[in-house]
Amino acid sequence: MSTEASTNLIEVRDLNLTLAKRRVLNIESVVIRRGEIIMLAGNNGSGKTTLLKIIAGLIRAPEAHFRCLGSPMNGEQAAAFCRGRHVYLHQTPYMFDGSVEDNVAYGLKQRGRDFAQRRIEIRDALAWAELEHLVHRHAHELSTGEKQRVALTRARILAPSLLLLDEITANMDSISRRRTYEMVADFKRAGSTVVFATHDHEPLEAIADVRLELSKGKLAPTDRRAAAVIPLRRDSSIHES
Amino acid sequence: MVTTTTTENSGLIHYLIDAFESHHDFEVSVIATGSGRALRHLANGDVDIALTHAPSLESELLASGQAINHQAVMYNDFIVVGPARDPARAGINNGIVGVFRALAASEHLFISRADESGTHLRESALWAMAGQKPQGRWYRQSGQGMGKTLQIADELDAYVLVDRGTWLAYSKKLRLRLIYQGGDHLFNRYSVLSANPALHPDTNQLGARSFTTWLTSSPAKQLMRNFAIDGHQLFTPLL
Amino acid sequence: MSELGQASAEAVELLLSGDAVLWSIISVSFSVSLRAIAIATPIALFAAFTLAYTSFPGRRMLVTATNTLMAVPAVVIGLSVYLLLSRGGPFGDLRLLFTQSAMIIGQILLCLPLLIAMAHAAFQSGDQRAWETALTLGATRWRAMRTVMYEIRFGLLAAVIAAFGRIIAEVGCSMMVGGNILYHTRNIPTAIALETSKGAFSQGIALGMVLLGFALLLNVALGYAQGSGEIDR
Repeated sequence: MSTEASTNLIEVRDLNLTLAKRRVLNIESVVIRRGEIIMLAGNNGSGKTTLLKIIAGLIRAPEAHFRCLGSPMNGEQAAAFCRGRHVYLHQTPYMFDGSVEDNVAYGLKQRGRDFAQRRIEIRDALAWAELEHLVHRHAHELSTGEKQRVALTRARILAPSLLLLDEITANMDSISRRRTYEMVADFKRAGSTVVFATHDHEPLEAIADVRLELSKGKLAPTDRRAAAVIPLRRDSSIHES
Repeated sequence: MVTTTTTENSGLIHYLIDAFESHHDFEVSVIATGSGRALRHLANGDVDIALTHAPSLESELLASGQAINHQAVMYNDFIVVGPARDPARAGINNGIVGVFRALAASEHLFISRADESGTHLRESALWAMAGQKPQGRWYRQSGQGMGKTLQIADELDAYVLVDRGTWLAYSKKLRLRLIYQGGDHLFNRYSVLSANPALHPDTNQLGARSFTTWLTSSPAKQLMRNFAIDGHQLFTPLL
Repeated sequence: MSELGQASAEAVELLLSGDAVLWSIISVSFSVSLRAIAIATPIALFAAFTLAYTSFPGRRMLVTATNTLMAVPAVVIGLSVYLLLSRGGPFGDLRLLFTQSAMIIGQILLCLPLLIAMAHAAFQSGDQRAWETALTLGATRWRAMRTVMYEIRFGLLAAVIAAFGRIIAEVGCSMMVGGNILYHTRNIPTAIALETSKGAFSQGIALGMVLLGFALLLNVALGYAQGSGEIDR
């Protein structure tokens, strides 16, 4: 039990959420384990975005039970805990009204890092995303793919424990898509956990460790709790035992 | 006809005009404004007759021939009113000059009409007589009519010079109290003058003469004596 | 016609000569209105943000109320403030009537509904993702709110400019609660009203020119603010 607790980033139980008189989520239990890339599959309207935003602390689930890094929390506490630790990316990213550098620096500014220190980290991060040549370009002038890379860089520079990606490759061509998967794999190498929502059967399966299926707010029986779950990667470092 | 706002505010003018119109075949329409402007209107020929209370300005107009047929009609007086507790200790003085000196020395709030009205002209003369040049944050210029100026003084707890007629009409509603009254310098004489037909031939000379004559007649004088607020007679006819 | 021409010529002379009375009137106008807008703006921005980003019972009613209050004429606001501040009224002891403070209060009440309504519209037309992005990158609620406001700053600026334009030129409220006292509560619109009623036009024309010139400036600024707000979308 204790090993499970230390490898679980977050557990949510009894997640029943109704928004605008519609039952959006009805999940008995879901667990995110540390260090995995989790593919969250489901059609439009299945509740993927809501689930991701709850885990990001952007939407409150006041009646659900949470366990974050082993500590039990109610909805309010969990939201406060997750916000800022778990970074959420929109399907179409929002760029702040400023340069690429300003956007990437935003999260660091909130943490109170001084400018000289920031400069170095930002340059490194932009190099990683191959965006150095755009550092002073106004963010609104970028292409969609470039904007998404800025969004990923904004997140990476914060070294989040959990990255929540909401169909970010939906509008991309295959080249951009491949590049994105490489960047996501890199997050895992750096120690972040990733939940990647998609409504397609994408080649994401190639890098994902686990697949969760959400349908009309319910997790399909193929969640990890059931014995029928088959890890997608044979050499996964997490073992069910 | 043009008259001053204080005279119109008291209600006397319409009271007299109603009586005049019922016995004569004339219709009188009245404009009310400050004495200075009233006399300018008369000089310009905008009106046929003026009833004002600014003796020095009236003499000037007569001397320059811009008005004729001057008749003193009635009088009342100006008084100084202010906060009941009299913080400037103005009311205890003997003579208006002492009062104004005390007001200037205390720098307690004072509201002036500042609009060249008869009241304002008298106020300026009194400051001059007391050897004072009122200026500073305590001396405020409303630029507006007597009623409005009283209202401002009431709200701000200030001193103000006011004619007896307006005071009687408003005093019930105000917190201000009578501070000083009496003496020649507060004497307020009302007169009529007519436009000069030589300068302005299209003015109604017949009507002006008729009204002037009537105003100095016995029935008119009786009406003036009868005109009172709360038992106080506002105006005293002359002669 | 020549009287008008002469008055206009005198007006220009008044402006150029630096007439003390004229400039006192202008400075009262700006002093009062700038203070009013400085106090009203943060209140309005916070209220508009709360209306746009939180939900609470009665929220929709509040939005309707704000929009309705925008339509209240200045004289009615003036009358209400007058009754509240006069010696016989509930706040009479504060002795605020016929002072600049009373004018500021009146002008705040005048521009607040307009400010809230326009700022609210700006927030609603803004991108909700800005708020979420700010939060998820670690901003506190306060910082996120400021970030969102920065993102829609041109819309907010347009609201402030429009509201300022309303209060600098209004006469109904200022006249009633200020008392039009020279050097203290006589501002541009009340001075124009007074001088015109006395038949003295040159000061009125001079002040009118100042007001027109300023209105032109405001509209240019407003056009810039609204235009800039559109380009980046």
